[in-house]
Amino acid sequence: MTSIKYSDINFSFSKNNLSNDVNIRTNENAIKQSIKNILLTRKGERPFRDNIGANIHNVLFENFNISNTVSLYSTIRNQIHSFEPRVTIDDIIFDDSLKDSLIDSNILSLEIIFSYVTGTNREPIQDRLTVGIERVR
Amino acid sequence: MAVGNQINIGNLGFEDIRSSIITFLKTQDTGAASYLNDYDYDGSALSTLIDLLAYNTLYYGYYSNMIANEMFLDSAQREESLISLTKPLGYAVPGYNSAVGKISLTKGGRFNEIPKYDKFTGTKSDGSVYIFRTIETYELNEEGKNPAIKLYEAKSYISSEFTSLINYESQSILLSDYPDIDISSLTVEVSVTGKEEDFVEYILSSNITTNVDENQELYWLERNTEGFKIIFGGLEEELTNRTVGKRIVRGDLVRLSFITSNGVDGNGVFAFSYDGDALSGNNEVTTINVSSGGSDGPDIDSIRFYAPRWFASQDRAVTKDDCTGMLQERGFENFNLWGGDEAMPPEYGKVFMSFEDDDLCNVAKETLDEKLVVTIYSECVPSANFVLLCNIVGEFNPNKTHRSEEDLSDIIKSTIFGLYQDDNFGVEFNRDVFVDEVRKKDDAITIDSISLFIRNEQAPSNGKRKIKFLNEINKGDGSGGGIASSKITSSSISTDPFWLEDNPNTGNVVAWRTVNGLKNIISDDAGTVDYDNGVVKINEGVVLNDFSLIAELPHTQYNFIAKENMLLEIFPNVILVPRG
Repeated sequence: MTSIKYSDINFSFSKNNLSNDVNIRTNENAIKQSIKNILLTRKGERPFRDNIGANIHNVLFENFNISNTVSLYSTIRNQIHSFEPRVTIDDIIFDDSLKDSLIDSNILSLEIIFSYVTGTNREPIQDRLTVGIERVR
Repeated sequence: MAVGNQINIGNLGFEDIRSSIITFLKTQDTGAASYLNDYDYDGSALSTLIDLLAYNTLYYGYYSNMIANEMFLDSAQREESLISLTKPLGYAVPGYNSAVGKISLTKGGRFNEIPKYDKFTGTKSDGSVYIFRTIETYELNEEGKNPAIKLYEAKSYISSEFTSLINYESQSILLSDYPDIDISSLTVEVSVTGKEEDFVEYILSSNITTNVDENQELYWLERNTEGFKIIFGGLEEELTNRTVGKRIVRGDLVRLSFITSNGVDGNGVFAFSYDGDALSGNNEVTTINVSSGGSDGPDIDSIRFYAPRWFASQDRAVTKDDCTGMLQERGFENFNLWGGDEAMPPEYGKVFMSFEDDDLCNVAKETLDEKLVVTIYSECVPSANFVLLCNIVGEFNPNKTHRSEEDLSDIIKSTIFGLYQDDNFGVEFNRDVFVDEVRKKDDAITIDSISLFIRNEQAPSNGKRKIKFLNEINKGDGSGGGIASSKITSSSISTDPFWLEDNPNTGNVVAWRTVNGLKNIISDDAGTVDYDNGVVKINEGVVLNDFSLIAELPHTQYNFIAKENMLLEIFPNVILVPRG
């Protein structure tokens, strides 16, 4: 059994029917939740901590060109480097397949490939997280 | 920060609170907090909750702090709080004050009375014209003159019925539509018959005395966040079942008259002219005082200062502080006031005042005499200019400062000017305070010695002279050392120029000159020196021209107080050398 090194509250605040307590997330799930939280946080959203947030919502309404892609790539790397020290970003892949078919649909989908160390295993484990956002109205 | 498993609640900054919560969580080895360990990672849900908790704690910490501050006179910051806090002291926080000018008027026509609220105009040096009004009735004498008419700057003049605004239950009228009212100009009139000819003026009362009955026509003033509130009588005091003042009932008409003010903008107006209807003909108006004292309302510090003093004096002038507080409350500034018992020599039964502007003293005297105790009267003493010369010798350590010798000298001088403003009464020069202040500015400076001299300029006169330094004068061993004069060129005791100094052995003022390089005494009895009390008297005819007299303070004396009518200017002379 993998020992628990990281543990966090489940952001959905769902109830655990066995313990009657709030569900928790552990290890890689906790890390993934944390990365997703950073990406989906807008700058200024958290009081007194203006520098947290990748602001990816802003690019929904921008032209999806190389310049914006590089800028977003850099922002995501910096944010995760600063606020999620448990992981190392290996790559960020933007889903280009949506580019032509849904060019005016204001959709962003990206996959983050990252490595982390947890439990008793000292070797870095690679994992992937897909984050997608789209306009709602 | 948290210590052990305790949360330190003394730190109220956001980061401090956040760190404190995280440190607390780190110490938990049982319970839910023991297995939630992602609090250190900013992206975690736990971290987001900690941020929220820290924000909430900060919010309530700040809110509680504000509430506590606003509860006390010393720490309240909002004017509304101060208005409320000073209400139990009977102090109605003043709003706008109109600038007041003073004129004399000689009538050109046949009428002899300038009514209340009559209109004048005045002009500022920039050409802008302001309207001024009287707030009391002035009679002209047999020659058709009145030498002292006070004019109040009036942005507008209101005189109308406010019956519809009466709150009969609380017996009050709230003047919320006039934030710039000069409340000192308010006249309250009531007609119980509803007829114009039956209006009776009500009197402003500041207290409730035992001899006030239910028929007396009085009103009281309060101020709240919305404006001034006029309160009539008729409310029953439950403790004694006593009704104080006359009640306003339905059918009564209430007329209010007052002026509103432009505040500070009304200051500096002169060239007044009559613009009313009561006097006819070409009236001659002479400006006595340029308008001054206009303000846009008191600042917070002045409310804090005056309210307790107002309460202490209860609108009476009994003690010295009462007199000072009363004059300050009425807008007089830069003056000194002292009791006759403190005067040199004592004159009992008097209150002395000295103002930078001597004309203003007479206005203040009129104000004060209305409130002074019977048998006590006030007297104006013209201000006298003195210069305190401070010879400051010191050294500095070049290794402890990057500043030049000149910069350090400037620091010493600016410290003096920062601590003691020019042309002020009651200035107290204190060596220790000064040295401490210099050290705070740059600790490379060491003050070795300070010699104090006080200089007074005397105008031409052929009478006796009495120069009151009012601080102990240095009594030297031989001739001189205590006082010294500038060159005397006009005198009845010598046609040749000479100088004055003291003889500490006889306590006399000595007149001397030089003949062939030798000191020649012209008179060894030209006056007297009272070293202890700091008073120099010079006999009649000794000095006819203008001259200056310098007194040296004892070398052991490091403090100087400008007493009585001394208007002081401080002049520092600094010698600073690098430490070898």
